[in-house]
Amino acid sequence: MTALGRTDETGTASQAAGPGRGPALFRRRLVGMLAAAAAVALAAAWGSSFGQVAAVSIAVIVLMYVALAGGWNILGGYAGYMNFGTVLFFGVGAYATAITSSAWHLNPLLTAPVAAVAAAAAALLIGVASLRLRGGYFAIATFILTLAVQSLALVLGITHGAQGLFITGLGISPIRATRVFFDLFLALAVVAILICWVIERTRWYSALIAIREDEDAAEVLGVPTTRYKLTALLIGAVIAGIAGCFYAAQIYYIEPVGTFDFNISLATVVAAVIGGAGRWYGPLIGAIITELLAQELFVHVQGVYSQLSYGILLIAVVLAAPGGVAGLAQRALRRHPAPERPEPLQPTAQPLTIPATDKEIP
Amino acid sequence: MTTVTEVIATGVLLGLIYTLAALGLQVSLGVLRVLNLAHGIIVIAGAFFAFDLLHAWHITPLLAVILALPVFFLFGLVLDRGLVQRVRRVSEQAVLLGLFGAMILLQSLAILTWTTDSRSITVSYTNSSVTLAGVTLPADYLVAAAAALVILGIIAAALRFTMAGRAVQALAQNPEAARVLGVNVDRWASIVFGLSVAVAGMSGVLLADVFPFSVQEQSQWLAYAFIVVLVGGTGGIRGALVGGLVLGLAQSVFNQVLPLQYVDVVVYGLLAAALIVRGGGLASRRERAL
Amino acid sequence: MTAAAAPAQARASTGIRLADVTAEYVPRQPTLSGLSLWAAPGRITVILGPNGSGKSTSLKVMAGLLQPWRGKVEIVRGAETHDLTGAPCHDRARHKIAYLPQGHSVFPAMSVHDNLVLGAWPLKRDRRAAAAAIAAAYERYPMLRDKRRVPAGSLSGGQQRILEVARLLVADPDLVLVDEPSTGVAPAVASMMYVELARMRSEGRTVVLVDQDVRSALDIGDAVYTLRSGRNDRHGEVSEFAGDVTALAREWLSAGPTASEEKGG
Repeated sequence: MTALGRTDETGTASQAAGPGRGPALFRRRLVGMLAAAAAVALAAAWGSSFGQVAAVSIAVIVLMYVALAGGWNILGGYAGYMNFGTVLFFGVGAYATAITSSAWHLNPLLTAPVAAVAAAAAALLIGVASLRLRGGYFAIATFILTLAVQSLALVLGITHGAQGLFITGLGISPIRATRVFFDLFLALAVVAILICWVIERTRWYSALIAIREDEDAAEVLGVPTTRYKLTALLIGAVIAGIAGCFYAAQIYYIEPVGTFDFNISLATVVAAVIGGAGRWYGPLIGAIITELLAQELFVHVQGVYSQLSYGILLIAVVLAAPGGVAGLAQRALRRHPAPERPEPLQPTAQPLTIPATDKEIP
Repeated sequence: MTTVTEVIATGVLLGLIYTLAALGLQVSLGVLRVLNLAHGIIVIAGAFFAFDLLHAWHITPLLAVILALPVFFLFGLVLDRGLVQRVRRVSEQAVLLGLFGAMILLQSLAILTWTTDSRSITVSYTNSSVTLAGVTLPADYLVAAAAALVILGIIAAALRFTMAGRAVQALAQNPEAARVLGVNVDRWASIVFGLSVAVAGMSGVLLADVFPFSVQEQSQWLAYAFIVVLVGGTGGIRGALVGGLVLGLAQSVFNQVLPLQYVDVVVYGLLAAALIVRGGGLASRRERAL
Repeated sequence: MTAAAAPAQARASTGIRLADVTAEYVPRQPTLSGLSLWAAPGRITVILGPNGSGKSTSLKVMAGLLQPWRGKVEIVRGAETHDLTGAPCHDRARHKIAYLPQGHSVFPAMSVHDNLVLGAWPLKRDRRAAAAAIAAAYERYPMLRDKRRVPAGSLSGGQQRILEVARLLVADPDLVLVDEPSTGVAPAVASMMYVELARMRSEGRTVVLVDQDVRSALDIGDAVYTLRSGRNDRHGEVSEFAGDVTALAREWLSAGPTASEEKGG
């Protein structure tokens, strides 16, 4: 089941149960997990030693987006709450790192917990304010809040406004730094994807899906929707905050426009959606595709053209493949027999459900 | 602009402009339950429309407003039939993402066409002011606000007194009942969306008359529209007016009191407050359906 | 002479037929399977069945709110048959078909008068006819006149039902589809509804009535169909069946819906 595509299948393929399937399933899972671990180990080795630096530095960005998109996926994909505010937590984490590492004279990487806490605090604040809003309202609210925080950063003394902040370097060579950050982002990406994978196996997952499909019904059934949404937002925010910390440490100069750049939120959302927002592997696939594309195509042509492509990509995905790449793969691999019946003569009338607040006669 | 009356009057004028600028978003939200994320960029497109018309063919903004109606209405129909209606049956999130993609796409196209430079329109009354009953107000604010008021009035009258207007209300309140009475709900949904885009474009023309504008500011106008909707609700022009006037007055007052760069922060603070207060009100679909 | 009081002979007799209809709300879970029924012109045809048997769904198919993926929906007007299968819902009004759903269907924030005006939607090109039809509605239901400016949502339940009926009659339909008129309303309002349905028949209109209240429905019904699990069960004249159906109803009430009947109906 994917975030954008409404299918009549629920649950994950790997949760097929039944007598006699147990041991085979367990073996498949074990093999899968070993393969994943091996892949990660291989990647780590590649990044740390034998990979070419240029390729590794590209991989660093890809991994950052894997992490960001993975974190986004929990609220955005599972619960269906389009969150355009990723960069908000990212930036908060970056600034937290910048401020505390210089104030306390610490290696910026050690301030990751501070970044995480700052991002979490921001998530709580924003979540409490905006998670009572439904779908589209929430999306717009996060979009605007990102801009708001950006203007705040330009104005507050502690952030030094447009001048930006410098972060003490790590004292290692740039090449070494690239490899170190590769490892860091790899770890973060793995954690993010792992969290998604684990969530899919909990009851919380069904609750989130229920929220996406029909939040009113979920509430009536007693699901603590606000609390669950807030938790989902928190996890994504913390991941983004830590990513921000690493980012700040890596580029060691941050300022509001670049750090709270809306394009980061945009790229995160596009990555998750293209990959397929409803499953743990979606953001992984999507981030790889979009960031590799971005790096290859837009090395020379920045800014506007990448935005243009993101826009076209989003529209294309939504029109043609709402489930993203993962959805397409699902459709291709589906093994049940094709339905014997043709489509209904006309699509069933979709009643527009109206959230009408006050319907005074204008 | 120092007297209290002038501050309030300016706030009202601003409020009228903001009301119109938000109406498109409110209509598509309230009637169709579609949150048009591309609203802001459409407004800005209206501003550039006015600019280009003025510089290419010497068409004044007031005339451009009228021309904007069919142009943007058609664009709205295309957006609706090409994207919104097609994606509606997939899921709500898909519609949001599609419109978000449209926003991004349109914004980048706009940057390619008009660059990120700030523009402004200068016409005969741009830098003059008018004094009414001892209150001095900028002429361009007055003209734009008056035009906005006229447009709002026409829309309100149409909604109340024409069959089409009643059909739109019915669509908002109980589309299934409307369908059964013979209203072609799908066609009317397209028309309403087209009109919401048209109003957004027209409001852009008016704002070009008053403010300097640039492509990037589209998100600011989206924000303003959203604040208006949050404060005023989705119920109709009356609500939009309430929201618009609150925003206009707030801005006018804060402009006097705070240095420029803080005004935005305050406006966003208003948004946060509105979110918290209104959040409950916009919470449940069923709660709100009468 | 107002439209609503037109003599029975002046009206085009309209019957409606479902032929082997299969329809569903959820893919691969049909609510109706091969259902057939015929509502003869000028009569009240009653559709009965336990919860979840597909009664309301059959009405929705007739009204065009749900499209069948197999089977036909046809209306027979005099000598002509019109195939309505697949036609969009909003075309029904053009064919003089009206639908009264269960529950509230007024436009709550619009005035009573505006609700009636919308009832004249098919007449919108002919302003005079529309005005006459609305005037006739006020004549037929005078209590609406006092409330004409009041938002419909603030009326009492019974008043809203009257408004719904009045609105429905503005376009002078030949065929009226009614879904459980007595469910969820006070008994006085319910009996008023049945009086109105009988009155519609006396005006030559055809009525298809889906109901839970077996007794009241059989009191005014001419023909009856019973459904079970989305399929035909029995049918015939009310006079032939009355005793059987009451027994059946008792059976339905005690048995409760089966698993496959949980959806729809």
